[in-house]
Amino acid sequence: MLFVIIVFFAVVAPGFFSLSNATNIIRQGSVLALAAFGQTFVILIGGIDLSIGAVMGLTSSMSALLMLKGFDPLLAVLIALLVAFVCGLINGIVTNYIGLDSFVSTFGMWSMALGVGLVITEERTLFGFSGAVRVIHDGSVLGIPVPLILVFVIWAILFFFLRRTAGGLSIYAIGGNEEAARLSGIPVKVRKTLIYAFSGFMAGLAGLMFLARSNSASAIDPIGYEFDTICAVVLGGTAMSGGHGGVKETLIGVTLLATLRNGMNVAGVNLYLQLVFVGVILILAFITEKKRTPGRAVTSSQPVSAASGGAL
Amino acid sequence: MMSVPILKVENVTKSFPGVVALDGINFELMPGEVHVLLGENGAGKSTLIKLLSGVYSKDSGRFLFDGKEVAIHSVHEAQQLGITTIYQEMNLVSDLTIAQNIFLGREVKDARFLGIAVDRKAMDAKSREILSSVGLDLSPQTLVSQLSVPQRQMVEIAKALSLDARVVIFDEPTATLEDKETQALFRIIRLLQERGIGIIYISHRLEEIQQIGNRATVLRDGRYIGTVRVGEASIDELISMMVGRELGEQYPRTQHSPGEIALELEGISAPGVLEDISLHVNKGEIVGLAGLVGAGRTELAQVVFGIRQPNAGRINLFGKEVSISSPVQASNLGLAFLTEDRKELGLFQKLAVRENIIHAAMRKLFPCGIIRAEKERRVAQDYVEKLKIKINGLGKPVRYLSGGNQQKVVLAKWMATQPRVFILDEPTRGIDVGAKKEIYKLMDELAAQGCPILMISSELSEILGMSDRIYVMHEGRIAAEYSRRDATQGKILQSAMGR
Repeated sequence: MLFVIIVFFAVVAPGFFSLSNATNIIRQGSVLALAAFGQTFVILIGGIDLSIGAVMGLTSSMSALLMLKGFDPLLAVLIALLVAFVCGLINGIVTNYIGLDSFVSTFGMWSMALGVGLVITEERTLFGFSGAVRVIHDGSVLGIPVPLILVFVIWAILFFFLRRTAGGLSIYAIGGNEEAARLSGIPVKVRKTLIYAFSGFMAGLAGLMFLARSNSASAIDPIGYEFDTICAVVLGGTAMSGGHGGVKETLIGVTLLATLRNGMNVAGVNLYLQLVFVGVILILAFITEKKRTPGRAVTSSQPVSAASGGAL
Repeated sequence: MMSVPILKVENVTKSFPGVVALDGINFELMPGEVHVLLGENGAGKSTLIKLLSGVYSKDSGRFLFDGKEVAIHSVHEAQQLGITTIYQEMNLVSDLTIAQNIFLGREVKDARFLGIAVDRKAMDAKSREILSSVGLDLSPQTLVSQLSVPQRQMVEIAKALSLDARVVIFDEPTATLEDKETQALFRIIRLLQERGIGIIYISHRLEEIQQIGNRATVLRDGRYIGTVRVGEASIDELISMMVGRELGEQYPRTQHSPGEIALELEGISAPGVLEDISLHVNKGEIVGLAGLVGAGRTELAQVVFGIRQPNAGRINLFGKEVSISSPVQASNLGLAFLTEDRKELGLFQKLAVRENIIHAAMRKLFPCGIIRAEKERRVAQDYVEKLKIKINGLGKPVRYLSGGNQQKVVLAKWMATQPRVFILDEPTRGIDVGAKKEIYKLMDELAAQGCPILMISSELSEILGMSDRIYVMHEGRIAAEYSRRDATQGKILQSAMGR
C-alpha cells in the first residue's frame, strides 16, 4: 500500500519524489512516530491513550515557559519530560488500581493536561526561547537528519524489547490473555501501569519534537495527535483488542500516514479534503485487514486437521 | 506407597463475604496418586484448588508440603513449591508460540546482551524435549492460536512438566475432549504418576473417575464429607455422598410414544463439513446425535437453525418443505436451539434472569413491541418455578448463577417461545449431577408432551440414557442409526470412529 501511494504521488505531484521531500516526510513523521510508539504499547495491552495530544501540548509549553524563565534548556526539557511521565503514571494508576476504563481515565487526563497547559501559557503561543532544542528536529549527523536517527534508534530498542525480552513478551501475554499472564506470575497491574507511564513519556518526547519543529509552543496545537496515533497504529495492523501487532507495524503506519499527508500537500489537495481522504483510507485499511484474517477468533476451538494431530 | 504425603491439607477454612466457602477441609495427596475431588458445583472444589494454587489465601488451617508446613500466598509461591494447575478455561496466550507460552513469566535469559534478551534457542530446544515427552510432535514455534483444544491441553501439561511440578491439578480436563482424546490424556496422566507426581483431578464424569482415580474425596456445601478408595465405592455411593441423598435412577425416562414426523432432513450437504445427511425426528421423541468433535453435529444443527447455509438438501417441518436462511426465520418457524456454548452464545451474562428468560419470546408476548413489566415478571417467575431455577432475584444478572441454573435459564428462554422442535447441543456440559438430572427430567417432560427433541451429546451415557433413537455421525456423514434397544456404548463408539 505504501508503494502504491508513493508511485501515485510521484506521478501526480511533481516534486514529491525527491530527496529533499523525503527528509521532509521524515521530519514531519517523527513527531507522530514518537507519540505512536507509546500508543502502540497501550493498545497492545488492550487499552487506549486519549491524553497524548494534550500531554504533548503541556510538555512543549512547559519546557518553553521554563526556558523563557531562564532555566537551562536541558533542565527545562527534563522537567517537562518528567511531567509527561507523571501524567502517564496517573493514567496508569487510575486505570489499573482504581479500575476505570482507559477510555475514561485518559480522556480525563486529556482535559486536565489541556487545562493546565492553557492556564500556564495564558492561552498564548510562546516564542523566543532558546533555540537549543531545535537540534533534535533540524540537526543532522553525517547528512542524516537527527529526527530520523532518533526515531530509528528508539524504534530499534522498542522492537528488541518487545520481541526478545521477557518484559516484552509479557505485554503480548497481558494483551492476549490477561488471566493467563496473571497465573504465570507476571505482575500485571504494575506492568500495565508502567506502560501508561511510558506512553506519557513518549508523548512528552513527541511534544518536544513538536516544539523543535514549529519553534513555538502552545497547549492547544498538538491536540488531535491522540487520534493520529491511533490511526497510525491501526493502519499498521496492530489489533485494537490487544495482544497482536508491534512497533514495526506502527512505523509502517506512521510512514503511510506521513507520506499520504505530504503527498496530498505537494499535490495541493485542499486541507479539509485531506481529512476526508485519510478517513476513507483508514476505513479501507480496516476492511482489508478484516478480509485478510477472517475471524482471528481466539475463543473458537476449531479442531486442527487430523494431520497435525500429534499425540491425539 | 506408604511414604510421606506430598501434600496435606488440614482443617482449612475459607470465607468470602457472606459465605463460608470451605469449612474444615482435610485432604491428602500421595506421590504418584490420582486423587479425585468430587462435589456438585458450589461444593468448594474450585475454592480449594485456588487456595492450593495461590489465587486465594486461606483463613485458617494448615498446608503441609513434604511434611513441612508451608504458606501459599501467591501463584508464584505455589509454582515454587511445584504445584501447577491446569484450568478448565485454558490459560494460554494465543498470539505467542508454544515455547513462549511454556516459559511465560520465567523466560530463559540469554547471557549475551547483558542478560536482557530471552534465549529463544534454549527455550525452543527445551520445549521440544518436553513436548516430545508428552507425545506432542509439534514445532515449539507454532502459534498457540493454531492448535486444537486437546493440543492446547497438552501444551499446558508440558508447561507443568517444565515447572518440575510435583503436584498437578486438573480442573475438569475432559469437559471439552472426546473419548479418544480423553484416553490419550489418561495415558499422559499415568506417565506423570510413574514419575511420582501427585495428581488432583476434578471431573463431573463419574465413569472416568473410576478409570483414572485412586482415591476420591467428596466435598459438599464447603464441608469435608469423606475419602474413599475409588475401587471400593460404586458410582451410586459416590453420587449419594455428593448430593447427600439417594438420587435414584440417573436418567429419569418415561415411556414415549412417538407420533408423526416433525423434523425431517433430506440429503443435506455443506461443502467440507456435511455430506448427504438424512434424518428425522418424530413428535414426542428424543433423538440422540452422537459423534466425535468435528464430526459435523453442531454444523448440522446450525444448518437447521439457519446459521449455516447448505448447498443441497431439503428441510421438512411437519410435512412441509421450509427454507431457513436465518435464525430469525428458524425461530419464527418454531425451532429452538440450545447452543453448546452457554456462556458466550446462550445467555446475556450481564442482563437479569428475567430479561434472559423473556427475550426470545419477546415478539410473541408483546406483539406491539412495548414490554409490560408486570407480565414480564409473571412469565419469568412462572418458568423459574416450573424449572426450579435457584435465583436470588429475577433482577439479578445471570452470571451469578451456577452452571446448572444458567442452563435452566437457557431452557426457560426457549420454552417461553413455545417451540415446536427442540435442538439441544450438549445440554448438560459442565453442570453437576443434581442439575443434570433435573435437565433430563425436563427433557423427558417435554417429550411426553409431544415435543420433538434432537440432542447432540458427547457423553455416551447421556446419549444411551435419554434417547429413543440414536444417529451417529462420522466425518460429516450419518454413519449409523440405532434404536434405544439396539444401542450399546461399543456400537456407538465404533460407528463414531468410522469402523
